[in-house]
Amino acid sequence: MNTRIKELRARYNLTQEELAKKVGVRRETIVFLEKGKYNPSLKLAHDVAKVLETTIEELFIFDDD
Amino acid sequence: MKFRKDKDILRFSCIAALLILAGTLMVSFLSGPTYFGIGSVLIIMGVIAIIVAIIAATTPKEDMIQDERSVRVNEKAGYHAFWILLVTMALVQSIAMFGRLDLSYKSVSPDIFIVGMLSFVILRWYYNRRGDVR
Repeated sequence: MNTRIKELRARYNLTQEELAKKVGVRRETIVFLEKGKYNPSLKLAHDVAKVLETTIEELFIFDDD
Repeated sequence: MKFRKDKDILRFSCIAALLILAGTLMVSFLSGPTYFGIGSVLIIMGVIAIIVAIIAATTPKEDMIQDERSVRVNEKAGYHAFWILLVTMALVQSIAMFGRLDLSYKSVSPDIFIVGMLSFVILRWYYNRRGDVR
């Protein structure tokens, strides 16, 4: 799984800490999300997408294989 | 090292100090092995609580919140630690029944308890580092 969180976060000038605070998770969770090492719940995916003003489909890219 | 001094930390530290005080009073002023045992346990619990309070006070508050990832890590580690505990108990039981070693639950129960606790702590650390992608 790949994500565009880092790219969009940079666009909005948000640090990992700030994004974490806005969605109510630990900074560690954002780190794992950006690395594609954590499958978020639908709610967290929705919250992150909302803060970054995008959609879940645009934020998370799943490999088909 | 920066120490947080919020209400929760202070409350927890007070409880720890009270445990140590109660344990010390019990050991010093009450006679008998039962009071000595209870007092010692209270002191040990107080010392453990002080250590936990120090760790919590030096950890940033943001790192202490329970988010969905930490809950998932705890659940996963707890589930696997439970199975490790169960297998350990089954092994001890088998050795006691079929082996030549003279083992009883009473003599090995503290060790089994430590196995369970350590399994949980190690697995939690491992799952916390590894990430979670299925």
